Amino acid sequence: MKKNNYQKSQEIRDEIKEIAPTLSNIEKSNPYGLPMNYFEGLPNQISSKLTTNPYKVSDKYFEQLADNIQESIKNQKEDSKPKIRLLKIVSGIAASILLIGAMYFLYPQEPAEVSNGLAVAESELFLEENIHELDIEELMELGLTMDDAPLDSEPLSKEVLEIYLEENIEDFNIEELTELL
Amino acid sequence: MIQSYQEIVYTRVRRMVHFHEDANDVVQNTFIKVYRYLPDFKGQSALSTWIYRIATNESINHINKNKKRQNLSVEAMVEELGKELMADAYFDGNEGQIELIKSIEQLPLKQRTVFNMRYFEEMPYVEMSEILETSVGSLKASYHHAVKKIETYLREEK
Repeated sequence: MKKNNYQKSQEIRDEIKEIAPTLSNIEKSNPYGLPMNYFEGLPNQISSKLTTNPYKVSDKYFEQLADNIQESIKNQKEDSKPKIRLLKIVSGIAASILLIGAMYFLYPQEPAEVSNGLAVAESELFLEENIHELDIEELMELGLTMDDAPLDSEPLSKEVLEIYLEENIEDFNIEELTELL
Repeated sequence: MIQSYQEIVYTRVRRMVHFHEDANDVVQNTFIKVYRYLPDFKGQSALSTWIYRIATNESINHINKNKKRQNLSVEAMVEELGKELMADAYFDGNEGQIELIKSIEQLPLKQRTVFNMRYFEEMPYVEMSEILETSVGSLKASYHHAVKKIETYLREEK
């Protein structure tokens, strides 16, 4: 014979009484409450979720969208300015280095020249050979000093000065000396 | 269809998640899924069984997702639940009922589900078996273990 609902319920209660007497003493009523008219509004709430787009945006999102895009473009331009400037500087430095390097390899280094087209080494050699042709007074007028010359001695003779010049030719300005010759 | 099942689904869900806001979310998600998957429903079980299966799975998913108390120990979590229920405007249970809810809350999720179905809803094991897709023997064992644990908890708390 099939049990009715009351019999089933009684069977469950009896089972509990037997194995869990403390539990069986606790009131079985539903303690959960809910807002007034909750079930009346529930079908509409669910229907609206089923029919509407589930993706939400903030209020006035579309009203402000055009302005926000323009603002972003403006910010991007401003952000990119320092980068372009830096890029130009780096490119300039790189190009200069490349140019100098290319010149170094394409045009091997030649001896430094003085103003009249003579190389420094050639000028020094020329001065050593023609030192006696220099006018010592003119040299003195050029402001050349002889720190090594004894201060308390008598005026130096032309020969002594020539010897001094020969020994200290490297300390003189070659360009100025060659102009005197 | 919603009107036909909403109260029974809500009551069952509410026993699992305890609070109205949570139950409301779970119930709504349940019916949204019911509508979406209704074309796939082949009638292999009663519609009510199918809807309740969805509601049970949604409740379990909701509990698993709710991280609010997951960092706490079981004891601390149960105590916290008791305090929250006492402060809840939509809860009107007495001290004994709060203790019972706390004792159920300390059970593993499967035992909790089985206990609620059997003890509160007095659901036959065969129907429970269809909803939970578990054998009747396993459900009986789960229920028995659950009752024993609840009794032990309640005796200790007395």
